[in-house]
Amino acid sequence: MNELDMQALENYLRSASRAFQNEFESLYLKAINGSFINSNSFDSKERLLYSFVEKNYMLVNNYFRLIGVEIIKETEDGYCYFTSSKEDADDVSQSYNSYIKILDYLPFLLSADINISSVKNYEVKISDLEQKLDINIELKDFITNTKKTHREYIDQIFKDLESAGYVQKSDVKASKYLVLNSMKHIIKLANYIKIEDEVN
Amino acid sequence: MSVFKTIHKTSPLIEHLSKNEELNYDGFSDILESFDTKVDSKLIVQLIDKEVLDYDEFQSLLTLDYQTSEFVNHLRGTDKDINIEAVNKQIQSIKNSLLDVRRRKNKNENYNKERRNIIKRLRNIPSILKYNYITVRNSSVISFQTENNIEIKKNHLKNCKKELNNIVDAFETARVFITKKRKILHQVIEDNRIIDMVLGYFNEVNKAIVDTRKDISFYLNKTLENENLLKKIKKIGSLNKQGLLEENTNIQEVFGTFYKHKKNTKKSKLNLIRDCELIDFQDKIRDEIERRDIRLDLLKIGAEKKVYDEVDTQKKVNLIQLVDFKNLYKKFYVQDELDFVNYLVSLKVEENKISPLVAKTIIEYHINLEIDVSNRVVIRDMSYPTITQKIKKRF
Repeated sequence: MNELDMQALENYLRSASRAFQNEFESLYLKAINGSFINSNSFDSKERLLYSFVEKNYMLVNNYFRLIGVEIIKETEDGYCYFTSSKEDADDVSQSYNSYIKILDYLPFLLSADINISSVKNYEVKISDLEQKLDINIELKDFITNTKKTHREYIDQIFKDLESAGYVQKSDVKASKYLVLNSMKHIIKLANYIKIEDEVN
Repeated sequence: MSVFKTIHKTSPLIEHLSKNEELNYDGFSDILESFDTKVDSKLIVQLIDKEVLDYDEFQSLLTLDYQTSEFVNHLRGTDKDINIEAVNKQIQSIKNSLLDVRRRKNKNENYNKERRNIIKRLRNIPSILKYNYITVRNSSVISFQTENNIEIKKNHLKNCKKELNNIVDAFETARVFITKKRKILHQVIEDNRIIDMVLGYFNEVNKAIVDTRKDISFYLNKTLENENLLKKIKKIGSLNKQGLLEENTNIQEVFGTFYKHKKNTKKSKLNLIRDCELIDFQDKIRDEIERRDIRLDLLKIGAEKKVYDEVDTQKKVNLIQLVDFKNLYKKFYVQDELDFVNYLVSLKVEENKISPLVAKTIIEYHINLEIDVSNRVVIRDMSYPTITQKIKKRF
């Protein structure tokens, strides 16, 4: 495949994309929004899209590479995401600012319920977290600077997590959230970060 | 009458037996009158047949069967001897009974009571081990999966590990004791199956314990990993609050090299569209499809009936051949005259089907193919590389 010139490759990929037009259109939308594709999502279309990427990874990746986007497949953790293959300083600061926003919530979330980071297909109940927050002094330390009530604070966290694509509402009445596989992505990044003491 | 009804009817008797363990019974129902039960000797015989009761003909002793007594104890909540320490009690009881047996043998006395006790205790050992092993295994899995406080989870798992070690110790003691005393036990019990059963069960427990130990170690490691992660995240969070994140960590390096994931922000969205020209590219594809009037995708031939009905019978045959892409590829691979594009032309494949077929072949089978870009085959306005079989050329 490497021997093929770009023009020829583009022609083949275009032809192939015609065969899977629907899938490519959905992938294209995901690429624009920077969304994750999770294998444990409640959305059946997303699950199908994940299996499509898993089966046709070479084809999809070559197709998106033509336009400077790369799709990264984390088969072990069960999710995919798009990255830009171009180096861009602005973009990098953009992405880590939004990441740090999520990172702010993590100490509270993991102290309240460590299973969020470790158990697959884990469902979090907002009322459980609220109950813990009411009782646990250590957890209360995390929310000293906010005027919100405990419930509002937790709701805000999960709203932000949901819009960033890390959790999905599983039960509207009981306020239950499913932790999506993409949550592993934040954990992975936290593992990559080295604090100065460790570096030295 | 069902066995449950019979048991229900004889419940005072069964309760008496479970408390006192035995009753002198000579086959007449008069003795049973004291228990206020309306049972005759026929029912007793039935219960003995169904292995609810055990009857010793030599001593005329009526006892509960081992399983019934376990069941009754469980119902009454008196099965307290289920801790792992109870294994030692069972062993001690067997030892005492063996001493009694020796004494009675010297005096030429009957030792059936001791024999029954030994059998009962021998059977007790596996069930105590099983109960404790399952409890430890379940509690380790439950605490790993559901306990959400990391300290409590860690302590639970450590306790499980300790309990498992206690089970291993008890199991080893019992195994060594039974193996050593096997000959004597066989002489007393006169039934080798029970000893074999207990020893066979020990092997199974041993295997299961090894697996559970591995699982618990894995859970513990995972919990410690999570604990370290939590500490790290807390540290990163506090550095961020102090505004020292960029100074004291390699976060920029990580994001520069690893994390280029586009967030759903307005700025990055606009940048992505402008930089990547994805929309243009997609539009180009759509224009091209419309221009060439390609309504029929190769992979959708079977599904799109309208187009399928339009083509004549000869074409239908060709199309059916094309749908079976693997067969087409196989046929191409075994022939050695033509390259792939010319082979498709020889099959009278429509021109607009050639490019998807070439693309599909390259994507799926490029490892087995020789793709020569310099020699191109031109079909109308499209030029294709020469695709031949790789293995054939080696020979």
